[in-house]
Amino acid sequence: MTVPSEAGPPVPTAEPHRNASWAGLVGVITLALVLTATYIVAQVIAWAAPEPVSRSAFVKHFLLPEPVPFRVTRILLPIGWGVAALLCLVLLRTRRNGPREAQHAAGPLKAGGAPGMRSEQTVQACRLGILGALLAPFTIMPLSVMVGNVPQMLFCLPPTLAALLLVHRVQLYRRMPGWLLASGLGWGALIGGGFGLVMITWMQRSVPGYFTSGSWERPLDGVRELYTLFPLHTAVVTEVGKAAGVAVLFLLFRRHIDGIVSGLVLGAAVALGYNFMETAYYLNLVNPDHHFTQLWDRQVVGLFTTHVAFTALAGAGIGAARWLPSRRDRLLTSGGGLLAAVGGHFETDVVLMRLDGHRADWFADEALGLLVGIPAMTVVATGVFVALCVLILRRGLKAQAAGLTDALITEAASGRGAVTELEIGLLLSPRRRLLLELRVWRRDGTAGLRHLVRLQQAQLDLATQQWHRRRAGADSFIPEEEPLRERVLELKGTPSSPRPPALPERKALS
Amino acid sequence: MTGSFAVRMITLTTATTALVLGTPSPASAQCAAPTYHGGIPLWIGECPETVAGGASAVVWAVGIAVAGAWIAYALSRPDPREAGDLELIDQVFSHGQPIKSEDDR
Repeated sequence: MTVPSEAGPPVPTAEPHRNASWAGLVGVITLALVLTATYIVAQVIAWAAPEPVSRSAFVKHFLLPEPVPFRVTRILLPIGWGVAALLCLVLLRTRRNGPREAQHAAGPLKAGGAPGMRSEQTVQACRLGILGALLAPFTIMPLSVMVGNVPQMLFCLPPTLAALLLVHRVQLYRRMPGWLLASGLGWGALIGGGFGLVMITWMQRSVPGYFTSGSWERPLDGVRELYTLFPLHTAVVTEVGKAAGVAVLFLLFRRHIDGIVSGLVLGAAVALGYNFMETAYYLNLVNPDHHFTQLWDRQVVGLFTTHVAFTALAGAGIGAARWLPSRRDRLLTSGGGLLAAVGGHFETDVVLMRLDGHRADWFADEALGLLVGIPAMTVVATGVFVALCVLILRRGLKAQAAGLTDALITEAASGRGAVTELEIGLLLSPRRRLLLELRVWRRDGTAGLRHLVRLQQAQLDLATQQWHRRRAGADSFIPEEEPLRERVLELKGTPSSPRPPALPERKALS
Repeated sequence: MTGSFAVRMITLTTATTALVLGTPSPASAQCAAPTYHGGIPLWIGECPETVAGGASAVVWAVGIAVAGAWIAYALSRPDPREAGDLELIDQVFSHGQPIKSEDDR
């Protein structure tokens, strides 16, 4: 059975979509530059830090050897900047000199295709290269942590994947493609995680210099400052790294991220990746005898209550910004989500440390303190943010249900056959759809289940895009209606409209 | 002023090392609440590791068991509305070709 491609914009409108996706790539490069600039600031602060010298020999404790993966990252990042700068020059030359010189700059190109197209391909390749050169070095530290703890990672993988599946199913109506959530998970584990680890390591290496160089008149104040500074710095850098992942995916695949539900879910997926990497980091840090406590803390109690809750808020802000007409409102909304995430992370770290100081008084038994105390303290510290996520999700799902109801009724009334009146109730009831999926799975196996899910998701996608098209702030990322309808009809196996199918046309063009 | 220079230096160094760069003693367990700032928590005490491992396993096992039990219950109970939905979807597909398995395609 031939299935048309998902986005499938018709040929006449392909150019605006391509321009939009390129503009998205420029936005992604801008975000990568922001992360790079943040790193450079941390490096300058570390370089400017006073030498941790004092009359005491204790300061030597601060001068632990530089971790090898950190050193490798530190070396690779400037190399990446150099590569990115070279690619920028190629890009500028391509733009200035036009298609003919672009072919020389990029080397021999494949036969066939217009010169203008080749020039566009060169520009696109340069942009992707710049992105890779800027971001790839951040993956060194997470990869080294994970490679060093493969058996433990295998323990963490099932909970993380199960949580990802649950997060995916939280999208009760139209769902984003699974590969998009997997990409979010990958960003959180490798890029976001790597950025966080590198920045935290810079902080760890620069703070002792500042800390030991000050006057010693009020040492307790210094300790308090450190206690405050460390969680605050970590909250900022980790949440910025994770939110950047949501923003990157939003800019590249905006057609799929259409509101607070998809933004929130994507944020949760990125955070699950980060949590996976962080668990590996802590397993690497503590004695192997104590790994089970870390797994309990991070893969059971904290799986949905910490990173997931914080980055879900940041993601919801980014998702909500899509339909806001004014740039100021968009920045305010996404910035507000990020601020909530940073605040939640900082508050959790500080409050948990504070509460933990009293845990021994509240729970005389160690086992009780572990099984009840830590979950209770986590609820106290992060409960507000988790509740906020649930409320936002609930509101987003309600809005989706309302918008879909109108769109499905309209589509059924059109008589085109993609959605019938009888199907509306089923499509609008997640519970009935789930039960139907189970029954179809039992009767027809996985193939039948996949076909059913594809059909219902295609119907919901058609209705969702119709709903968005009627919005006040409708943008150019909303796909054309007819290919979506044709896809539904094809999945149903009903005769298609007289319009020629889109896929053979595109194949013929390529 | 709070004590001699040496005392203050020891206090600061110990606190900072434990918070920032410290590694746990192999003899003591990390039974503190988790931190999310990349450092080791200060509060260190005996920790029942077997309890932590068992609790993690039990929570996930219960989660899987509940999901499995719900699926089994949902599949076994007779519900006329679900049967109606199945009939509806069969009608939808009966307008075209029958569903083919992945191997047949």
